[in-house]
Amino acid sequence: MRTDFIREFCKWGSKVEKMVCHSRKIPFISASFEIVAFSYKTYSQVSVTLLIAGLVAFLTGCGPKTRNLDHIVEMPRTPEPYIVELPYPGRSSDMYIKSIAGDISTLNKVVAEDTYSMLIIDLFSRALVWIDKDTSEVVPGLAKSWEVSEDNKTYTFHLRRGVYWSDGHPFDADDVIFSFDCYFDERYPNRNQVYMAVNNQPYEITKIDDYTVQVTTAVVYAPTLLTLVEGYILPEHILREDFENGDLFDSWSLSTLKNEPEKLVALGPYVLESYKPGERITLVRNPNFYMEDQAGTPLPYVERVIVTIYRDMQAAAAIFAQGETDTALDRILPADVPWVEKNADKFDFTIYNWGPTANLTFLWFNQHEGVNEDGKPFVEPHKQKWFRDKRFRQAISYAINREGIINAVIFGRGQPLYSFVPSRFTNWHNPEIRKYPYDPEKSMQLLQDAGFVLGGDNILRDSEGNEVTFSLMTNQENEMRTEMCTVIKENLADLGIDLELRFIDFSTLITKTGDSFDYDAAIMGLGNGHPDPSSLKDVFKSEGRLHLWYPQQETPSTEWEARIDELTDELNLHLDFETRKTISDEIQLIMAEEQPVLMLLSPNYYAGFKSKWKNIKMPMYGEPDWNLYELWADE
Amino acid sequence: MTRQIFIRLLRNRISLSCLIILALLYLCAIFAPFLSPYPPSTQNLKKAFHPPTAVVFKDWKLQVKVYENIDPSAAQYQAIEGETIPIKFFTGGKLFGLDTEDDQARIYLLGSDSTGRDVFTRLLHGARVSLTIGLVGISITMTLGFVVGALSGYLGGKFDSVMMRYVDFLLAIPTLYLLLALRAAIAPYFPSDKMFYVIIIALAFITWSSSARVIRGMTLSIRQRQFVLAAENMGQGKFAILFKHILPNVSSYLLVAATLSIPNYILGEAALSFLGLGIQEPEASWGLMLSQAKSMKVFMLNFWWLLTPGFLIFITVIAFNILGDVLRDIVDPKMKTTS
Repeated sequence: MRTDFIREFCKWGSKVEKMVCHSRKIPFISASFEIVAFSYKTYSQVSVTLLIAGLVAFLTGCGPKTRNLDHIVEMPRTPEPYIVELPYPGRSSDMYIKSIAGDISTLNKVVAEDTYSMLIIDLFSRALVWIDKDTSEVVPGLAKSWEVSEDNKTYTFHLRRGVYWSDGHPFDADDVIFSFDCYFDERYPNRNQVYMAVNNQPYEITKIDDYTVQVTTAVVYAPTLLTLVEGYILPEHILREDFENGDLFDSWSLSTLKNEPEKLVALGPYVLESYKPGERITLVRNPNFYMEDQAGTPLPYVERVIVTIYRDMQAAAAIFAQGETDTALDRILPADVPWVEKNADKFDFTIYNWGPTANLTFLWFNQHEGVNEDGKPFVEPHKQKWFRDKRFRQAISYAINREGIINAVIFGRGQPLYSFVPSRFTNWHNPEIRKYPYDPEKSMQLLQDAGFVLGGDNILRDSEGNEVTFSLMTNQENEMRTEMCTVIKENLADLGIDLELRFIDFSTLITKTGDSFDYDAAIMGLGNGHPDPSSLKDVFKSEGRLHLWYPQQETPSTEWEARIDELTDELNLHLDFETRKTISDEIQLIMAEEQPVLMLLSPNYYAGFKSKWKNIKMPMYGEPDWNLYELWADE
Repeated sequence: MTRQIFIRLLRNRISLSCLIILALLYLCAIFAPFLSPYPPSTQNLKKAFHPPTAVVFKDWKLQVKVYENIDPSAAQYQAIEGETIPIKFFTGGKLFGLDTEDDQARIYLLGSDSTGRDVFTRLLHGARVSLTIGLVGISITMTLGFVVGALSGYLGGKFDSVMMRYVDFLLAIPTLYLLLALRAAIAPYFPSDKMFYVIIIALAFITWSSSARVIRGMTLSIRQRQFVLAAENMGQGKFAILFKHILPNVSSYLLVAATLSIPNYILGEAALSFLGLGIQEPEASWGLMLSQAKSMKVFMLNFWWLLTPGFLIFITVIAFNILGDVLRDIVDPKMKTTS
């Protein structure tokens, strides 16, 4: 009922706009317009709302043009659809409103780096293979099946026949070849050049016939299929010209969406319709999408997706709590759940508690041995001596009251974390690793073993008499992390360590940890990644850019780092799970024992949906509405 | 004259009450370590967002109720029926504390924050920062303002035009942006627990210009007066004239301007700390404490006690403004001629 009304109302609004907007274009009418459009509460207010909306539209000028959707051409269904078995096969639904906490920057996969752009690209693009995030298995995408050669290096993909782009152009192997030409072209440096390469040799892609392609890797490389998920197929018939001219970076930009949306053809479940910077993105259903439910109903069910853009997560959570969006961002922060939950009955939504997230929050010490441009060491030598001492790192790990932090800062809605592979990933998590529960006495013992002495003045000194004091930095926008820091400061004060807290903005934090290295210790997080531990290659390997404590080493600086390098390489050389699991277990054991990175906690994963939405599936990682194409509203 | 002003301030009922409020606040700030039951950074992770503990009179003693956490997942507490802990006065160098062996028991007169720190304690300690920033700040501003303004007015010529163009330049930049830019420029040279000085320097730097401008104008008119001309003719030195003849005549303005600009400092510190650029955790200041209250959960779960620093800022600013207004009425030249 409600969404119907909103749709009608929007149509009406755009009619009014058309009537009054001949004279002049003023770009920002719809800020006020939209608030009015989506914030009505009861029917008694509707007429007033209509009146105000009309006035606003009339007074401020023009809104977005209604999009001409002629470029979406419905073609016959593919004879080889991907059929999903759904718990609730459904029917068509009108509209789904979601929110993101920041604007997008591009729609071009070759350019995209930020989360929110990737999220929108996900909605209209597809690759050869896809990931079912509830099982985290690789499943067929545009390729209906594949075979692996005996030497485990060649993957032969059989493409789905009779799949069309949203503009009616047929999809075939040429699009696949073209896409990888784009990704591997030296003129266009992009992430896939790193992901889809082994020992700096990019995958070899060959066309066998119109519906068969082969992907060959230089050596056996276990995450091959996983990396191909990132290889969204690009349309040769649209982008070939830009590619040849060297303009690929400029194509499929935000202005393409504003001025020539017909160029943004889709293979994914949705087609982009319109975009208002800083306000919203709308997408409509792609009738040519290759998926169907078990009853033969083509997916997706939802006709139109509206993505509203908010400044921050709290604003998005507040809007959800007022019943105005169908889902609450990517997740609700644990500390926000108690108040969002209060409105659950009033606005008929449900909050799902999906257990500890795969998001990692951790602390590490700067162990960099290098010197800066002036020849001064990044870390003062006496501090470096502490930071490179395993016992010191373990002592600090024991000294941090993780349980206490969880109780106070996130209302007990989380779990302490000790491993890079969180317990959420039951397949890969190694429960045997060393754990560091809060134990100040053990901590003091370790420090004494390492030669530290606690003086009568309650100040800890190292064997050379230096007072133990260092700084800890984190990004100031993240309330959970800053509060965590104040607790850690108190915890360490009990040991006689003076911790100096530095709250800085995120970009400075990134520069300091990845470039200038002028810091002692830092707290940061890593987002949701695929459970397969090879996705952490960049963290584990000593030459990696994300080898937080001492990145991009020429040769491993310690024996255990050398061992982890070896294991990480080994991990990629095997395809069978058992062998890989044994290797990954050993990596986790070493990391937990050496504590180069002190894992802190993983907050619970809370997702919020209007109760009417069916087929919601808990993902191992990523967005709660990752299977948007399967959702439908039971109204 | 100062005495006269003071007596008249005391006779005015409104200004008297403002003076009393401010005196109380400053006394609290001075004796913060004695008045507050805990050190300002002591946490209790099991008692986050604890509501104010009710104080009851039982067995001829003041006692506080004991609370249990009925819903840790939403920080909901409930008083346990009949269970209380007596308050002990003048204990361990503190005005009051709890008479119990249990080191987890707490008296929270104004509740606790997200890590179980006592809000009352932090308010008192925060007052030390928030209230002294105003006093230290104006002494810098007024000195600078007087020196630059009076010299410009008295010397004139090149010095005057150079200084006044500089003042124009400062006045032309929007205050908040200048403040943010200055803070960013100075902060790297100070450790985070010395952020207090950064804020004072930044605030003083931008507020002296307007008073310099006014004092220059006043000096221009005063130097034409006969007693200044006489002093000049009799060969008194320039600086002697500045301090002996001009300063006493602008002092009433300085007094009023100073009183009226203290609130700017308090608000400036609050604004910076609110944005996370001022006083840094775990130190306390009213602005910093208020920034904790900007999170949605404080409003939605009704943690009202976290808003008390806002209330104190409000009271202090109002008190200083009223005091300044009354002072201006008193020293206004027109009134002086009629009396």
